[in-house]
Amino acid sequence: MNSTNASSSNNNNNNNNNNNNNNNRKDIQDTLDEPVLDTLLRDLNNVWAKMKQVLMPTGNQNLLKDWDLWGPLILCMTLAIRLSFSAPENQSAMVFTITFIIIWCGAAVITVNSKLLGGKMSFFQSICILGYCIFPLTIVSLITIIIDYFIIDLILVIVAFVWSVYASIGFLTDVRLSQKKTLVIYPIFLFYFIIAWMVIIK
Amino acid sequence: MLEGQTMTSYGNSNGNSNSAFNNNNGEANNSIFKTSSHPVALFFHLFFRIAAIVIYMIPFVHSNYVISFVIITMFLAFDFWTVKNISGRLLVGLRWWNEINEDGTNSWLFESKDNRVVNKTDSRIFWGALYIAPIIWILFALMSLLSLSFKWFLVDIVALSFNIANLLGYYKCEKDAKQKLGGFLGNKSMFQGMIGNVISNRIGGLFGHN
Repeated sequence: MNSTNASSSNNNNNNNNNNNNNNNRKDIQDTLDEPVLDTLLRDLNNVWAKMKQVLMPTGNQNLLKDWDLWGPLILCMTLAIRLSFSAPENQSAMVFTITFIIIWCGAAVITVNSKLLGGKMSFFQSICILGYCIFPLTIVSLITIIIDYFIIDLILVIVAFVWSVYASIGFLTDVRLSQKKTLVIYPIFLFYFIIAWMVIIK
Repeated sequence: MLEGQTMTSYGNSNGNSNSAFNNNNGEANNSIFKTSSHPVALFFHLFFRIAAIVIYMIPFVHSNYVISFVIITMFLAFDFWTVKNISGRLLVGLRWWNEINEDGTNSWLFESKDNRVVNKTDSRIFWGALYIAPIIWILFALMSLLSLSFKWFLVDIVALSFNIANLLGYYKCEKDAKQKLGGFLGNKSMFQGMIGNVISNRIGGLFGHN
């Protein structure tokens, strides 16, 4: 059986066109043998589903149990590129680096903070949620490429800011922290505020 | 045959990791793709890592930070995903991931085939690349640190996190697989197929719960 698997893999000349079929074994939950395309699509769908959930919280907590850091990475890179795009020439590298660092270190600090306050959420899951909740702000920052009127931009950023904070609070305060809620919310508020501020001043 | 020759030319131009694994006939780069049972997986396992390192080293790239950062990160991300999901299970039959339980705690899960018949070439190249890449990035990180070039140091840190994550995951997975092997030797003869056994390891202490 081993050799069958090996020879069918050898017939593929492209990673993404792998039609390695173990159909007879698909009924067994065996992720060791699934085709490459399946894995790729599964992961991509997962990322997209999470992004949609940030925009329209359905209250389905289970989706975020399955954390991944790809979404936050994509969103972070998009935001960092967009911000460095409209920065003056000599500062664009700096802007990019700073955005990147603020997002990841900010998320880490908030996570450590909420864990120290007694939160039960796992480290990676919390970073995942914070990263995904940057989605509204990223969208707005892309919109401001086209729309250049300060007042409109300001309104959009404020809307996105409130949206991000609201979404992340919805996911993150699912823990028994009722008395310390403010202490947990404040850093999140600050985090998104800084990002919103960076978006608005471009 | 044609496919084999295409693979060979890629293998030749990539010099670095391949040359460490010479077969006794000295025609190193020709053999690894022929003795491997998954040459495509092997190729991609090496390609993204080496691409990231090579692009980092090209001087031209240093003139535009943002673009090179994005490209290097892209290759690193592809490499991470490929090694974690594809080359691990095709080349050495291992897989690792993390799951959140009902009460919010972490558990790291490892999966390995019952009767792992691991191709020698595959295994050597897999583990070799897994160990060598982080070492190279650590060297780059030291160099950036010494030249106080903070932005390139950031690139090195990102690269290191990607590479070390995979290294740790597979290392633990391999250890777990060996443990499993020791425990089930008596019943081995029953399971002849490629049914994977999932054993969950509670490594909650890492980043888990209080």
